[in-house]
Amino acid sequence: MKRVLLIEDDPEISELLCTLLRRENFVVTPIHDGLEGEQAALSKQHDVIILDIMLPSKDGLEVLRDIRGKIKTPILMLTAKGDDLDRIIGLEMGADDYLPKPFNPRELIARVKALLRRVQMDLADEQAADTELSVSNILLKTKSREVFVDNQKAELTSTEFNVLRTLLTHPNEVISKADLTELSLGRKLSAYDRAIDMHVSNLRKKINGISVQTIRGIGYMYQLSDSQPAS
Amino acid sequence: MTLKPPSLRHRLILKIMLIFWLTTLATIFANVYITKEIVVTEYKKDHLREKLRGLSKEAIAVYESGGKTELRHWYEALAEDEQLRVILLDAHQRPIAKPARSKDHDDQDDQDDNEHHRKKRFGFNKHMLKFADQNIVSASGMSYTLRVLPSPYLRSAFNPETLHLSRLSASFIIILFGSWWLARSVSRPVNVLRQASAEIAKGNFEVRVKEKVGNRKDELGQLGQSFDHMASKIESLIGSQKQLFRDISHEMRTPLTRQKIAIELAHDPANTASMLVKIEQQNQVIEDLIENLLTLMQLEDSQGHPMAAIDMTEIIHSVIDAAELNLSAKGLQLLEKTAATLPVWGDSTLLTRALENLLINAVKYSPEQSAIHIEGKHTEENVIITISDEGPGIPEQELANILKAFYRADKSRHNTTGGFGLGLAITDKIVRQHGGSLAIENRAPSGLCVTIVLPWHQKK
Repeated sequence: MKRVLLIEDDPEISELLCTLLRRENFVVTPIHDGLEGEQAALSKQHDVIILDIMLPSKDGLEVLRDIRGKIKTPILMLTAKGDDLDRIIGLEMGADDYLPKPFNPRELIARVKALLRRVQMDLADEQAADTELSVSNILLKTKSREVFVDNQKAELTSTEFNVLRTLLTHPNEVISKADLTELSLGRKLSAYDRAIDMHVSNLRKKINGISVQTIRGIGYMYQLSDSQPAS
Repeated sequence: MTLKPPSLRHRLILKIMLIFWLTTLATIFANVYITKEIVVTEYKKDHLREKLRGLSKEAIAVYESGGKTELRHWYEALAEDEQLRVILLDAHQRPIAKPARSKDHDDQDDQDDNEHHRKKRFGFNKHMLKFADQNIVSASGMSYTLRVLPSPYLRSAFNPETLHLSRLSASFIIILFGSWWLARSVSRPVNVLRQASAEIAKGNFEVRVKEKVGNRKDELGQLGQSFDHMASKIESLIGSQKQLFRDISHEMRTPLTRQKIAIELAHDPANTASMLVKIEQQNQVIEDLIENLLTLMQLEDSQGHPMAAIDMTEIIHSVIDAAELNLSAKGLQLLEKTAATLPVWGDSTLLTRALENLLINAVKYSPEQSAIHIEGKHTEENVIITISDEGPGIPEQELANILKAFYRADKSRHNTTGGFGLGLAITDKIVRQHGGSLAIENRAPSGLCVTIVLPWHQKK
């Protein structure tokens, strides 16, 4: 039984989502208030958090910013379609995925499950033998899920770690956005889905000079120094 | 914004006229002055010639009677008295006696006809000086020439041909400058406005021309001001229109999301019945939203509402009657104190709606078992209606925004109270269209008081 923390201010939507998630055998804790939601999130009692942006007492983005550094629980943000600013800020502050309202309920379930699968994968990593992946000046430790750049530890979110690992395991190979989404986020790429672009953009910000190339219209590629892009 | 026409002093027509007039006047004055100079110079020249003729006779007489010595004395006396230096030449153009060196002409010596010197010192050339040569045949039959040596006096009498040329060029320059000034003062602001209009056409509504033409006080300056006013009006209109669209789409999202989840859940036979009720409710929410939006849009067209003499007292009563059910559901007490008749000029449907919205809000935010007060009175000029409740009121800092469409004091749009924040915006628009005003204030210790002021309608 997976535990979902649902922080959503609209009582009607919250109630309907509870019914929906319970039907999928999740244990749901609905909360309608930002501050209360933050406290509940920090209790680490949940496997996944669904967070709305518009919240009384504390805005969803502020809640996200304040809990991100403290817990590793995957966070799915509910945003409003067209609020590009909200969306981008949400992902930059470390949401693992987002879903614009009005969303397809089946899509929500699929994304929640994808996030949980990914957590499972991460756990499997932690239990597996420690492997180290070293490409150029970047060192990836899969067990501790740590990243070192020039022997300096880089603070990445769990999703960013996955994206980086996928890119580094296929150096000089173009990885399509669909593949990268599936391999890193554990779900299918959907229409107008820019989540992966934001995660790559965050990687570029956090790891200075990382040679991730954007192959327009296709996807991304980690380019080893002194080599040409494989065409 | 209406601009007064500029004072006569700043009219464009006056400006253009003035530039024309000044240019013409300046040309005429320059011409008259230079012509006068020419005439005066001609006169001086004639006078000098006359004088030199006399002097040459005198010089020959002095020379023929007293010889070179006397002639020298005569030179000196002339230089002293008349500031004029001359020299007498014989038939072979040789100087007969040289004048003594003067202090300020020390390098003059015997090279008096040295052109270089003359030119250098006074800007004359040989040709120029020739006019002053006086060829005289004396009574004794000898031929002489009296030559004037360069001196400031001579210079003043000298007539350079350039005076004629300067008369032409002065006119030319003045007219050129005048035309340039005129053209520039009209075409520059027009150009600025043309470019700014092009920017607006491109969709850049932030363009303003004030800095470039704003300090002009004529019609073009005013055109600039009107332009800026228009630009800022368009900018704010488009901005609020965009905001409205954003708000609408935002507002639609919540009921749509609810509906989508409910539809998904309705697939489950156990839930179908209850979910269908929810779906229908959300349909109603969307319908209400669209209804309100249409009302708001219709109100934007200020024309076309049937206006008549109506009694607000009747409207207040009808609104209270309609709300009876909602009032009793919350156990609310309605205390009404209205004058027997409150005549205004307006559209009864709209005004009913305005009051209805206020009462719906009051009922919505009132705690159970509290009271709502409605008061209707009039002064000599106005009808004043107040509706007050004992609810939570509105935070002071939010009062200024509360009349905007889609605004809700609670930022998170807590939908437990329902509504879209359109009610007050609609009421405000209706009241303003009737030439009235709406004021909202908090009551002590708690509650909200909304006051409508409408112009009192005098029966004729």
